[in-house]
Amino acid sequence: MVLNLSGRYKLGTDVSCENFDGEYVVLNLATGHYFSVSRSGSTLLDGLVRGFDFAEMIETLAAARPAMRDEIGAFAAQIAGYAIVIPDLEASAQPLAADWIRAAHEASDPMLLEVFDDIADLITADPIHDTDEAAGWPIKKEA
Amino acid sequence: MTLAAPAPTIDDGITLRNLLPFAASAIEQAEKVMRRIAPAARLSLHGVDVSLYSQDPGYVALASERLWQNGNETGRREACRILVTSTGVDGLMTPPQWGPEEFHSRRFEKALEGSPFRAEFDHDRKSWHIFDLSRNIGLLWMQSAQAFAPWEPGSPLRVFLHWFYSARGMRLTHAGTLGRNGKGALLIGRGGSGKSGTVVDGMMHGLQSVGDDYVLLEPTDGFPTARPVFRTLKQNADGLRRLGLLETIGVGRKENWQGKYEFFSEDLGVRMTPSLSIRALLVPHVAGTQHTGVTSISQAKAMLALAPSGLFQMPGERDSGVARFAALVRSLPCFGLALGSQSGDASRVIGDFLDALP
Repeated sequence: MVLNLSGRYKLGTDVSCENFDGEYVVLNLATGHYFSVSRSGSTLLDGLVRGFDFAEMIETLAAARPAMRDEIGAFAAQIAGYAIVIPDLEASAQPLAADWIRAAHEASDPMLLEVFDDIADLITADPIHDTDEAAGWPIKKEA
Repeated sequence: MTLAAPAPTIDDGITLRNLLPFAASAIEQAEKVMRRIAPAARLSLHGVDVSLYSQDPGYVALASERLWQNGNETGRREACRILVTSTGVDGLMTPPQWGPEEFHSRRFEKALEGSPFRAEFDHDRKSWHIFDLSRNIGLLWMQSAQAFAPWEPGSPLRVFLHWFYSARGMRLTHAGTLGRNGKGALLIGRGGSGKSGTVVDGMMHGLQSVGDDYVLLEPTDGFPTARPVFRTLKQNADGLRRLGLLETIGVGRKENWQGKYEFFSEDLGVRMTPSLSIRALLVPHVAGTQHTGVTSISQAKAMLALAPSGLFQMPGERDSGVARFAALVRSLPCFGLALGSQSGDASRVIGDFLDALP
């Protein structure tokens, strides 16, 4: 999935997101992937799930730090690829909120998503059917 | 008109469609067995008296020895009955297997949500943990006696206790603990970050602890309270050597499934304390420096150290776990603990750190 500039998004199924002073920790409770999101990335993620217009958010973030414009594409591809956000076909566009604009102006760090897959490696294999019987779970069968 | 497919029977294997009736019937069977036989042990744990039914004296000895019991605890207590059994014992058949449906732990968890039942299927050993929260009845149903998971001896009945305490707003938490004068800190982080060695070193240098691996966290007015659940401490040979314990602890014991020696605080000449008031979170890492240091870290970093292993090492209760761990992180100051190499230095630094906490 690629994020569309005119699309609306919500948190993915089984995705849990906790905000700690503007920094998000995201956990996918189904796959075991978990993520650390930089302050600027957290601001964008927060805006996406609040239904703010993606293009408007890019302009606002880039006004605060022009390099952000180049970082957003890779970040958006990552959060879409890990299904942290998914399309919300029922949502309508919301105007940028004052608190979000303030956070965007203060977000000067690089837009980064750090991915942790140490647990996902253990739990995403179907332990009944994808497992090498001799070695046991979590050793996957050779394809 | 469409016809619904008939529900699969247990003979076809367990699927998400027959999981609930299977859990109910298994608990019913367990209850019938427990009406016939006497409990092999009564275990006095925090807030609950567990009657353990089992014809396997090895498991009974394990649970009696390794669970931390406090017979002096007062206040409201519940009763819980747990049957540990296996094929052919107590009249039970071989535990049924998972069926042809793809196994997905999250869907499994969701299928039980809202019901009184919690369950886990151990795919390697083809055994079941099943618990009825409404009646506090548990069943560990194995292929054969002692065919439990290799981590079971270090933390017997852990899965049942996780479900029991989660339903009451408490949480078994993957953390070590150290304290002084009743004030404590949780040591959180991945395996290999130095939690356990720091706890053992601290206990050897006069600090208190309620455990080095899994502890019970109870939200209380003011600061959360941590309590011991298991008596076992763990260290690998290198860790014991660093602590000067290899010649005592490492002799006459076998390494466990992780290559670690399991022992008790009494082997160090000290006892675990019944509770600690938790005032801070410490995220240790081996720094490669001589001296140990403490620095403030973000709550996000602490959450990353605390939540993942605590959520995914236990079956189910993931949503409530995220909420509880996030609330814990927000309620406490968070620090990084850069562990130096000088023996006893970490314990001195942590002791001073604890004294300075409110």
